[in-house]
Amino acid sequence: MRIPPSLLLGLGRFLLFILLEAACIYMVSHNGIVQRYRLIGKLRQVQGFFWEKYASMKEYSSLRETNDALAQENTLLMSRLYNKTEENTPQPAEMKQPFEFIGAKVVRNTVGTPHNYLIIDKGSKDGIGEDMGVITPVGAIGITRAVSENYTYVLSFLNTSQQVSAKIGKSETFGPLSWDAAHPGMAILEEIPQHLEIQQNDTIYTSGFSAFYPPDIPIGIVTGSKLVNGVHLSLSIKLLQDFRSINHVMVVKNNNKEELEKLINSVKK
Amino acid sequence: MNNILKYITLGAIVIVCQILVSEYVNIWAVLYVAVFPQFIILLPPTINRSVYLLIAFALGLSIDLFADGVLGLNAAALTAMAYVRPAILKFTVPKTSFESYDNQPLIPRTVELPKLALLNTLLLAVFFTVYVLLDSAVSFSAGYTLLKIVLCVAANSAITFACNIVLLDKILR
Repeated sequence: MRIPPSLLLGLGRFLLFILLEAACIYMVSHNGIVQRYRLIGKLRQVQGFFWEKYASMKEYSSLRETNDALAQENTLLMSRLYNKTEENTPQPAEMKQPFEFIGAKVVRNTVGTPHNYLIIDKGSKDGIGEDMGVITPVGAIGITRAVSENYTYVLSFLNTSQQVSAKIGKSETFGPLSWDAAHPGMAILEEIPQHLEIQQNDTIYTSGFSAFYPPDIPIGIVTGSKLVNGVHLSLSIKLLQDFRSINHVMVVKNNNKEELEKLINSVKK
Repeated sequence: MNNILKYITLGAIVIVCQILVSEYVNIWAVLYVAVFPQFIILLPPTINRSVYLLIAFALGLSIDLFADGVLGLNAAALTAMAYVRPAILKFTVPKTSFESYDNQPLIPRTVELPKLALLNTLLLAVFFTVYVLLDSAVSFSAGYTLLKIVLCVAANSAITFACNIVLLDKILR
């Protein structure tokens, strides 16, 4: 039996289509954002230069807001300082502080897509590595994913694949907090037991149950709740940090991260 | 040769336009403005279909690399759109008309406007269905996915329609 050439051609085209789609799906499933950043790393260095200039201009035009934010930050730090005197007790010299903070300026920040990211003006030469948390005094901003000498690519919290372990103020109940994927100022806190009495305007903090973020950073307030599948509450959270106007961030270096990872890996074995 | 150069230039312009759109036109996370599928839609139907698939893949991958997005996402959606274009062309634009469009782009000058609008909308529906489904694979929500597909197809069809009338008919003479 002779196969018609048109059928063979059609089959060839179909195979080519499947091959191309398979390549795309492979790239997508391997977290393509970071791969893309690495692939065009040199171009990003050039872009970084221009983004930095643009960010400086933007920063100048928003000096008043920056001053207000700094004043608020000072107030917050002072109140923390005076409220936590018991922590001022001397510690043994060999004991390292669990967290170190590296200040950085944001040179690029996207908020209008489902895959948002930030570029900050500090890189490997400033001690930044991959998988470090990035915060502001009122927000868990993201996680460092790719680092060059002078710049770092931060996967923003405003990303459909990102989650932060968060707890509700005084109750200490925690759950995963993720972006609602539609508004840059809103998030959803899930898996909260339904028997809890949640009040509007309750504050949400980082739980500290991850190696990325220190505990007790205020990140949002409760604006509403709904029962999901008759089991858990899902809370609507208004984020305290306005992601559209982030100028300065702090990269969190967890000095105990390696030790923690070693411990977890040894249990897995 | 002249035609090939014209399409290569247009392709490069489309990539630059999309980079600018991705950079400065971020209205809402639910709404993705994509101008580059129009380039793949307008290529002449007489072009070799395997080459056509490869062009779509390469353009999608370039957009993924240079504009903000996930590597492979636009490429997957654009390749799927290119694969189904001949089938959609068959019932939106009658086959007898193809011969008269020999080596002609699909723009208002060569195809009647209502047929072209229908063709564009259907192809964009394929593009955004693949794009949104792949994009929301991690955190799938039926309502959100549907809303996003409908919004993107409606907005981009309107943009494409305007582009066809205002720009493409004049550029591709």
